[in-house]
Amino acid sequence: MARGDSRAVLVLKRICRNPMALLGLVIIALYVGVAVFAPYLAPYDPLEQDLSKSFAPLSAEHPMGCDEFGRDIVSRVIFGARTSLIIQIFSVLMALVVGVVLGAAGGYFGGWLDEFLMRCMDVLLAFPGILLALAIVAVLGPDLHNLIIAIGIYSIPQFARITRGSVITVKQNEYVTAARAIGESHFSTIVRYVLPNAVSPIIIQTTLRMATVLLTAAGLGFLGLGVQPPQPEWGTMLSTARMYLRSAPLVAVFPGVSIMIVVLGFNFFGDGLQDALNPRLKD
Amino acid sequence: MGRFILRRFLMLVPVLIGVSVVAFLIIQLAPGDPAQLMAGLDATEADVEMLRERFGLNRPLAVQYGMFVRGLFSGELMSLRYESPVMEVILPRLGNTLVLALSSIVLAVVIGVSAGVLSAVMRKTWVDYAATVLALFGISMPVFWWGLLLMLLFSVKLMWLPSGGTGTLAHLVLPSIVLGTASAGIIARMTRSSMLDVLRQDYITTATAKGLSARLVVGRHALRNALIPTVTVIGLQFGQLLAGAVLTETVFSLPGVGRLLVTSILARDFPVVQATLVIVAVFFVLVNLAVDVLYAVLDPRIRYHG
Amino acid sequence: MSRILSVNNLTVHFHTEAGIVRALEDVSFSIEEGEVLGLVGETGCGKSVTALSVMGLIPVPPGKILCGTIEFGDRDLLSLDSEEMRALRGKDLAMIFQDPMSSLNPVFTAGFQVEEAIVAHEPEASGKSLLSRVVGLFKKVNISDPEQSVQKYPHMLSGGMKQRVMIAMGLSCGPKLIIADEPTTALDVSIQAQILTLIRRLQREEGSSVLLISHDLGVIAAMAQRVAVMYAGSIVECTSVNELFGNPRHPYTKGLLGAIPRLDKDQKRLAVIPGTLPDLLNLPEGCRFRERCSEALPICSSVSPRPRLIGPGHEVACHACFGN
Repeated sequence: MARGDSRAVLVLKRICRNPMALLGLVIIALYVGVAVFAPYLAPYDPLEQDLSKSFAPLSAEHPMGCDEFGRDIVSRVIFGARTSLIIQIFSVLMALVVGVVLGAAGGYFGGWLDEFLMRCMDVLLAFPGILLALAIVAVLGPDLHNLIIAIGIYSIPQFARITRGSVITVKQNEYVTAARAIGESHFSTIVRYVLPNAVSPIIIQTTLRMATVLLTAAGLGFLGLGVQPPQPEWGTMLSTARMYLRSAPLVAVFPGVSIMIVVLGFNFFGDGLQDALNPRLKD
Repeated sequence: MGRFILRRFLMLVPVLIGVSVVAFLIIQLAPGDPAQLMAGLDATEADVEMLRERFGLNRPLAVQYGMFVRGLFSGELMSLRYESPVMEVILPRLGNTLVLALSSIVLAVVIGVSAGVLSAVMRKTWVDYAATVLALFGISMPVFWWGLLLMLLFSVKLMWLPSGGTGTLAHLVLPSIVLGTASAGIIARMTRSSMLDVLRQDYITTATAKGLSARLVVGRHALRNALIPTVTVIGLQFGQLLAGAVLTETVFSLPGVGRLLVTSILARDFPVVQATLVIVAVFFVLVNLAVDVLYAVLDPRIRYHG
Repeated sequence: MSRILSVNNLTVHFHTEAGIVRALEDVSFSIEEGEVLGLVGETGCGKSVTALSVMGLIPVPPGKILCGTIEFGDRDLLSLDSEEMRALRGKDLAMIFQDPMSSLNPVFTAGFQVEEAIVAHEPEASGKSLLSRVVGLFKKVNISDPEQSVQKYPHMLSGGMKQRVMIAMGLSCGPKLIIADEPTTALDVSIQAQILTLIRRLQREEGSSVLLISHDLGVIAAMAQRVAVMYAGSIVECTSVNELFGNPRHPYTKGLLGAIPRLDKDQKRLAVIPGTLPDLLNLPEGCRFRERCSEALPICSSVSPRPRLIGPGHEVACHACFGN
């Protein structure tokens, strides 16, 4: 172990030197803050309708105006953050746990287990993009739980693949053979020796996945197959906005901007994380 | 080379079978009765029974699967909405989606590769930073919102381009831009990173040392090598475009396979949903095969030993 | 005999994140027509930087050429623009690199890469005549089965074959000066001798001059007429090979020669030069070798010694040698 900073501290330092990564981190922090403290931040009840204010223009009372039912858009955007965060956390968590277990098992044990698992992942990956999630939601019915399951399932193969690749690389190190030689069980070897060193790509993938998941959930919402109204979700809000595009274009702006900023935040940070964890000499 | 293609193809067969199985089984995932799901909430018991008969939902799963696959190709599998074989419903729309995907990928490759090469050659200048930021914006932009914005600007306010439908080249412009943006960003970043790796290699120094002009060194020696990993990404992107088409086609009301999937889901036309899944997935898998082959064409090391 | 290359007072620095690396400091040497000059020194002493400077391949940020001239024929290479320099590279000035495994582009055939070298300077060359020229070159460098080898990709060739391809590439336009940077270091010992013999034969046939860079004194002894010894970015001694091995004057040279294991002497322990290379980011005042030198004088800590003639054709940069 080198003198001075531990690896985690070194990584943190590199991140701090990267302005884009820091910006991403700030955005993520703000996003999480807004989502968690939504009830305290939102000026109005996001579900409260007031038809007399339908499509009210931007004003001091309603800085982002009102939607077709007179609901305050600021409040809906704020609660929309909460909905999105819930979807992100649970679906990514699900995909992470299942994917890492499958990938680690395949990578560590190899042989026919690996072949079989990877073929299964290939089948899942054969469905491009959101199609798989779309189909699952179609069958299970569009609501929040099913959305989380569908997006979780569709995210599993990437985690499995990345974990597997990482595990295979780490497994070749001698300290793994040494662990087995002193009598560690397979499970213990994986958990104590292999996984901690295989973790960087998984962390990066998690961050970037948060961005993809948000886009997918919003996309499904836009198609009417995601979170259902009146629950506020940025994608769903955009699908109604689309119907009124010509008459009230402003309604489409804020949910869309929110999605973009949050996704940018995760991408910026994920990028910076990647540079920090694998410092390829850039010059 | 032929052997290489054959070998790769054979490895795909289990995946293709798996895909058809998954598409078939999806219906069975439904809580409750698949026939009920297809019939809808306000169907009579007789309707539901008729559907059950028609799709053999009382038979064992394996038999149902056989019926499904056979029906797919023979024309027996019919759309509930259009009362015609699923293939007839899907294939023409697949054509439209492919045209869209193709024009999007061409746009994405031209912009992405140029930006990536420029970024790499002029790294750490404002060109590089600007391109990186733009690429990240492109990747982060939700497709449907970007579509709405462009439609708002160019169709509604400026009225330069049509906001929906097909027929002319003009109809293809906005959807292609919308669909291609994220891919352009991804391709640009991949090309840049790949070029940076390649430019550091010894054989680039050799090329310069023997008197080749900078243009030849970058354009011939560096690019050929840098494109190899980029091609894989381009292939994957093409597949993603097939998926992203779902959103773009919805925004611009294009009669493509993506929109068909969505409308079929909303109309509970599950035979079409299942058949579409199979066809799109098979297509995607074949595109990846084509990319593998292209990879071998570009990299002689893979061709002879891969 | 005319002078082919004359490097005068060349000083090259690199501006890095960690500071300024003073890679070359006041380097001067010359090569006559048809002569082989050996440039010897440890890894990191600046041999490759010297070679790259002559070829104009130093990347200018972060590198910076502070002063000096490189006279090739009657022109100063440092004053040429990029197109003029490009016209010289591969034609009058050729370079053979250290690692043949990575120096050839994997996606083009060996023959194509040599053809390129010719076409870069003779744009009209093409077709069958170009191909037969390349085949001829392959024959000349002893590549077996030249007609077939021309169509092979680099990964199909052995290390020795690849290096021969590099040599063929370098010779393709009849260069006046060949810079060979550790041409055999990455090769198996058995192949090394073959490649060295090849280089020597070709050099005599073509009458080219060679700047042979190596850390291996044995290679220098076998191939060069004159030799320059580099240490930490400066030339410390320069003379004929016989004189260097018979009458080394600089303490570093003496240490190097003393460190060579010998079969004819009874050695209990290998002689070692104490200390380590100075950090090029943080060079001491005065002579760079002072801290490891057993003959150091007080003046060595403040004044950097310049090369001075100590005998006919024998220069040394050392205060102690002159008894100052």
